[in-house]
Amino acid sequence: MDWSYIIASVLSPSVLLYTLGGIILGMFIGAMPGLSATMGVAILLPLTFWLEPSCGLGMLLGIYNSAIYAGGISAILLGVPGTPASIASTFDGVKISKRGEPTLALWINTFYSVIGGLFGVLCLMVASFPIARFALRFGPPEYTMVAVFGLSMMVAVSGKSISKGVFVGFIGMAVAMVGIDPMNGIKRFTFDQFLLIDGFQFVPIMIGLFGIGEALKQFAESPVSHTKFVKKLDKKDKVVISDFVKESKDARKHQSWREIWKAKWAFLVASVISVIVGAIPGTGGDIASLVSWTQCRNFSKEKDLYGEGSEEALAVTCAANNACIGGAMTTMLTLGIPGDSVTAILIGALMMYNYTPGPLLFSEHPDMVIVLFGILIVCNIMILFTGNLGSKLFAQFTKLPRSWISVTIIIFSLVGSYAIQNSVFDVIVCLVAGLFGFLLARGDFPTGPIVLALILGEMVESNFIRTMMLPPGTYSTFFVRPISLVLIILTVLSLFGPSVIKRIKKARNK
Amino acid sequence: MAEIAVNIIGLLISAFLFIFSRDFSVSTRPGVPSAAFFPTIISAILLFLSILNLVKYLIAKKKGEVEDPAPIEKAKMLQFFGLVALLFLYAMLWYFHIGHFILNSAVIFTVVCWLLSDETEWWKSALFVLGVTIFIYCLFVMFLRVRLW
Repeated sequence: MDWSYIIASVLSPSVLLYTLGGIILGMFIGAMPGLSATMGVAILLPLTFWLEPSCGLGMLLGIYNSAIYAGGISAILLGVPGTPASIASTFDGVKISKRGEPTLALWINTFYSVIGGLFGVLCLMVASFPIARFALRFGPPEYTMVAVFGLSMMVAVSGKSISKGVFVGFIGMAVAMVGIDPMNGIKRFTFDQFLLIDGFQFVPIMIGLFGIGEALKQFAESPVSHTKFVKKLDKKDKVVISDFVKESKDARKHQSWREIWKAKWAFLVASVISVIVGAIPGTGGDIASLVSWTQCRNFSKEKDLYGEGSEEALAVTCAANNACIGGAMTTMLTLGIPGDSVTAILIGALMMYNYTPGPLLFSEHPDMVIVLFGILIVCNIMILFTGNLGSKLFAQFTKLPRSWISVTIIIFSLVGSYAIQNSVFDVIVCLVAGLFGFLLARGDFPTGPIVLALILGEMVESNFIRTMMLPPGTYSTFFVRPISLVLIILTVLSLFGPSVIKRIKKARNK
Repeated sequence: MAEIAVNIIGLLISAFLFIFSRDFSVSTRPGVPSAAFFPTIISAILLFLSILNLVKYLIAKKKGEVEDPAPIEKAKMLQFFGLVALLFLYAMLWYFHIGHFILNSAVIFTVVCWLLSDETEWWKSALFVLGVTIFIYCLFVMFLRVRLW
């Protein structure tokens, strides 16, 4: 391993600058309710195409980490989660703010998000190399089943209806079928169109689903114009925001380390839970923080205060959001399976730089893996400083007119999708995906399975056909290999387990 | 409505996959599934799931158990279609190289901005959009060497 290259890559001024840029952009995105980390990474991904891998990945990881962190800012000050991952932060954060201690709440958010994030990186560093070494034993049957398991997990946690999740996943698989068949080299559904030979580009679809789709949804569903909404918010939350701005110096007296550090055990439990939850494909910060909040309340000495403005509860949710990133990155880097929607887009980014996530990444490019670890650590350290200095500023961004934000998102989305290969066809694909994303949101369909299916569709197909080419060339291959069999059992359990448990409970209650 | 529309799209995709995968249903290697194998399976599952979702939705609607999202106001619906039409018009202008990136963006997105927020004064939106467009133009054309037009 070339340590001088690693250190130079992580600490070079350009990487630090792009990472800082990503962190500032991520804070803006995270603090704005309605803009998610997924949307931020998707629409800004094309900007990184022309950068050095470490600079581009630094920027994207900066956006990812800081958007998840900054979601807590609006959750604490307004009671509106900036990103879905901060839903649980609203339970206690806004109550701490309303009792006149918004600076304390924001400091808890910054501090615990950072140490939660660092804990996640530590777990990633410890676990990823052994997992990757183990995954080197995988052959085509195991990879087929890993991908199928990934798809099944995404479906199992994707919402109320499993059939809707599976349906959306299969639409993603259908889209992934366009282009040259990975094994036989036959052109499928291309109709002799040159633009379709490589299939649909992943990035314009992502940008459309998460950028344009979200902008359209917000427009259609906003009951009153945003200006009115801001006025309404101002009336309701003026006290909180203005108090926060005025009293920031006074409130500093509340930031005693003892007070903040008393949540250390709850933080540890929440971080461990979140890393595990984050490693499960399809889950994300929202699930991790909700599970952590519930579990920590069960064993906490101050369980009655949970939901009533408990500092410990806020620390738990903030740590959980960012610790989850380490878990999601572990699955993504070692197995090539995205832990959540953002890591799905990061897979696209890594592939763009010719780094294919999976066990081979660890044996072929161990330097790059260490660089990624280093960038994640740098991101968290930078969040500690920028978050502490910039929370006031980012809190004010929530007042920007929604129409301006939406237009910026739309322009970035369209230009970004064009910039991938200088093709207006990608712009049209992005718009169509945006419309479809809007329909999915209106029909209460989850969007996540499409992302996963687009990435895993090709993996399932090529590995399945490779398996069938191996002797004996029958389906029994999947059942006679132990790892593959275990994965089949896990897939069946993840798909049918929840509904079976539900029925058993129902029957017992009767 | 959106739920029905999505399921109908699923049915159409299923039919599309089924019809066109017959073009490559012959395997090039003995014992190996053909290129049509996966599309056919996906088509069958999509067909099943679309019908299942539709039936579930219709039954739930009949029982009054459906929680449809709040309907979009009529005036807003018009604005919505206007917005989508403008976006596609923008893409078409781009596709056929009509006008210039900055000019087209400034005009179309000012209207979009005005549509998105009926209370913001149009000239403020126009100034903002012009600023954003020039910023994005500089970013992509000057720094990233993307040929935008």
